[in-house]
Amino acid sequence: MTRSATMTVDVDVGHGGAPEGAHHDAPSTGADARAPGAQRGDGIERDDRAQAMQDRADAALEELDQRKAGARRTAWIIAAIAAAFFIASLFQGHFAHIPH
Amino acid sequence: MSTTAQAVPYEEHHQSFFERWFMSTNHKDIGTLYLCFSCLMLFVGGSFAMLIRAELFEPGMQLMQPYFFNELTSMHGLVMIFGVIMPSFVGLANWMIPMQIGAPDMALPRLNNLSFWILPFAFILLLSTFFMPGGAPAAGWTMYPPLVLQGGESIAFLIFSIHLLGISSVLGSINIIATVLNMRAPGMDLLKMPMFCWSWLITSFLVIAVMPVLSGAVTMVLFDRFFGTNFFNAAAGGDPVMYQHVFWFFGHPEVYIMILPAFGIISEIVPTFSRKPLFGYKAMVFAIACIAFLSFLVWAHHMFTVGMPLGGEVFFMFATMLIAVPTGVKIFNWVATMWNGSLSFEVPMLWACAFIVLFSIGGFSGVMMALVPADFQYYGTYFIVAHFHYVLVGGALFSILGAVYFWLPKWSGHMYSNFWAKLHFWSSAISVNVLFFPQQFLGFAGMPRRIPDYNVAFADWNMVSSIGGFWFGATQLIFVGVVIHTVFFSKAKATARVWEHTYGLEWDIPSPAPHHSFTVPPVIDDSQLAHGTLTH
Repeated sequence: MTRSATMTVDVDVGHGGAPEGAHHDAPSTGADARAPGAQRGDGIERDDRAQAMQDRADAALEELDQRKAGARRTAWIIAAIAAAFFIASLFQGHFAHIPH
Repeated sequence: MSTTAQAVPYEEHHQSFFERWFMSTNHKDIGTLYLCFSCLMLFVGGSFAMLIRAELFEPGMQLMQPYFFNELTSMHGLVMIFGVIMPSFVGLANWMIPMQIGAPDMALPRLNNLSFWILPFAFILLLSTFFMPGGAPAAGWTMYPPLVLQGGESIAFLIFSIHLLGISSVLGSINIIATVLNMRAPGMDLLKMPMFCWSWLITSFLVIAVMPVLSGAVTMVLFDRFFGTNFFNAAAGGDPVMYQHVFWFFGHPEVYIMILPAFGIISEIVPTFSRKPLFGYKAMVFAIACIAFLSFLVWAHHMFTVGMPLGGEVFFMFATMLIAVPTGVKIFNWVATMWNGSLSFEVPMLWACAFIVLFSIGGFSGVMMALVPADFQYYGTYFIVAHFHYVLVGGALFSILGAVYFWLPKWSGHMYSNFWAKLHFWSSAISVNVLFFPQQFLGFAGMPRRIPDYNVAFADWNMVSSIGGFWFGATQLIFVGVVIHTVFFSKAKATARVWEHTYGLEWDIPSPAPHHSFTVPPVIDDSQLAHGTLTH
């Protein structure tokens, strides 16, 4: 998955709560959305929830980026090992002197 | 288990056909490509096998020239190993590993795309050799010099395609290692991973270690053929036996590359349909690691008859027999998992049970050949043909088919027809024995492999074997029908968990699996893992 892939979060933010950059794919059916008072929540509270969700989304993306950076490091190390095996296989006859 | 696998179904993920199937970086799409490609190659390699069995149906030359027969046997081996068994396991790994460890995709998706798309070009190169002057390579899949050097110009294509296949395998393995080591969901410790992931992690290290060695060996052959070197030319001080050592240093771990993922699959299926946690999870993990380690120490058992010091023969004999110990651990643990379980024999379980029986038959004949004095009798006969076909067809291929029947509802969102799936199983299970069991008799009687004609004394069992071959080949058409019907026409919807007693993250997401499985890492609940919190 690349960074531009759909970002799905498991925090239900109710109607109109999805912040930019964190697309909410599933329909909002959370408890607070159904609650009678949900539509009447003041703007500040909703902004706080949206900000919290944005923070979570950012943190998840950041962690994913860190994991991918680690994966790239791992890949280069493994590739170097593979290259070493290839080169060693060309010269092994000189080293091994396997009797037959 | 708490997960956050919210669905982005394929229908909502707008991509053109070309974008989806040629440029995809999605692990599921690439897994599907691998599986479709290996299915196609199964029928290509299988058609070679049908021609071989048709020629061997009766003694005497029936259908083809001897050289073409040798081309068929060589290409059958190369296609089946590099085009069927290995890619289909990689396809299964692509589909299942990210879902099983709670990752959104493979760690290196573009590398994943490259790994796959190298394959078709490698096989176009390889199969095009049939149409070249001098024909396709005919020295066996082992490509021993000096015989392979005496073929036509197609050797360059053969070697280049081997290089490409090696690059594809190594890149795929790098991706799997990077994914498993870096992309696991928080809480998914290594010793909590499903067995299939463990088996592929270890297999990937085997691939990294030995595919470059094969590349090195064929590179030296290339230089001997085209650039005037004499690595394997005895007349100029080279050593053809050295090629065998280098080749089999690749070749024996390659056998385990083709069977360790099968162990992982069986370790997923058996607990599900035994309704019990896997018996001895840690022992199973260490047994796989032990088998992988020992596989580096046994290569010369493939070449006892070239002549080697007695000490070497004894070492390789005992090292080979030692592998029976961790392999036995696995067999007994699967049986112990079934023991006192609430067994049900759905289609995947049937394949798993057949795997255990047929792989054991192949394994036991392998132990027989580990014995140096006995091996001198079996070497180069149909006994070894029977042995490795029991391992690779009854073992590897059966596990792949079992895996497809196990996970196909998860992939497609539909259930398949039990009747046709069971017909496919029973017809395969019977015909594979009709095909390969008589070859053990032929081998004991001394029939050599890789010949298009034989003594009339071998006629009856060859005819039986050929009938079994045609039967088995035709049976696989049922499989294609079942898969096509399930994916495109089946009305039976699969639930998320599909089977009654499933554990593991892949069963927590909807069927069909969404385009991206885990965009937010799932929470791991130990009690929901296949081996669970129960200990033995």
